[in-house]
Amino acid sequence: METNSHWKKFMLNPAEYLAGSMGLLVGFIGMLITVLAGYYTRGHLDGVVDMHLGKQFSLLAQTEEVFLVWIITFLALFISAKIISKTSFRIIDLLGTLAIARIPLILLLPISYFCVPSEEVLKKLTDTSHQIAFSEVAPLLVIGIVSFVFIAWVCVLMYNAFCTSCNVKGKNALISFIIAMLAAEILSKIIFRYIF
Amino acid sequence: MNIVIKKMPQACPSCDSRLNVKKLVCPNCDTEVDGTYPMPLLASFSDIEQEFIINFIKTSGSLKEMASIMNRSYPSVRNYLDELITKLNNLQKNNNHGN
Repeated sequence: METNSHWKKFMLNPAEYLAGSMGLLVGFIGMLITVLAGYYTRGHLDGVVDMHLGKQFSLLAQTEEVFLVWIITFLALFISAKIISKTSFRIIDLLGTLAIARIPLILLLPISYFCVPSEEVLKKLTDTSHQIAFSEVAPLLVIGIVSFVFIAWVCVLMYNAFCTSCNVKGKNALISFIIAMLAAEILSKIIFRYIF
Repeated sequence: MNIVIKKMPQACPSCDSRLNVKKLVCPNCDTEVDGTYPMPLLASFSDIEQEFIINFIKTSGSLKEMASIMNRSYPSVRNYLDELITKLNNLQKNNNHGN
């Protein structure tokens, strides 16, 4: 029972158990796996909490994409925390716990890759004169539901990482987190437009 | 047989004010000391909180060692310590108001 509750807590707030240099190492390995998963599935995590399949990038470009999003998110949340946190906090904790928070996205990449409908079905979707069988659009529905669950989970993980690493809580923490995430999302889109 | 663990009450069940100590007993010779003594500030902390404070002193205030004892990360231990500091400050403030 106790172990079960620890696991539940760990799945929602790993920062409670894992931070510092070990947290950064685990998060770093997670990001390297994300780079490889993205490279082989043509998946792109080019926003703070979004994911889509697209054209094949080089391994270097894929690495830049994953690491830039991490740094941008970190900077936005670091500035927020500096404004609202009443105590000092360590940069290494926020960096590591944010990297760990994005680990579930690794699973989303192969799921999306294997469930994506064929180009024929995608063409049918845009053409209103064709009738589409449910079985043809079912994979899209699966991707939608699974993506929603995973992205909601990652948001919870990032919020908890922010709260635990920077010792912030309550309404101020939630509002500043939302503002920081929106700022990071906009900034990442602008930066990626210039880079890729 | 169930072992009953008695908890020392902190607040008056009737008006919620902080309780004082009225009587002390020597467990060796049963000598009783009667008087009114204020409760030590640390007695206001729960058993878990007191255990944290004891371990914190034993580890010379090392949060890293505390994290390894508690199986928690450094920031979560530091946040817990901050909660205890806030609680301690509030208790001291209430005590000063009471005096």
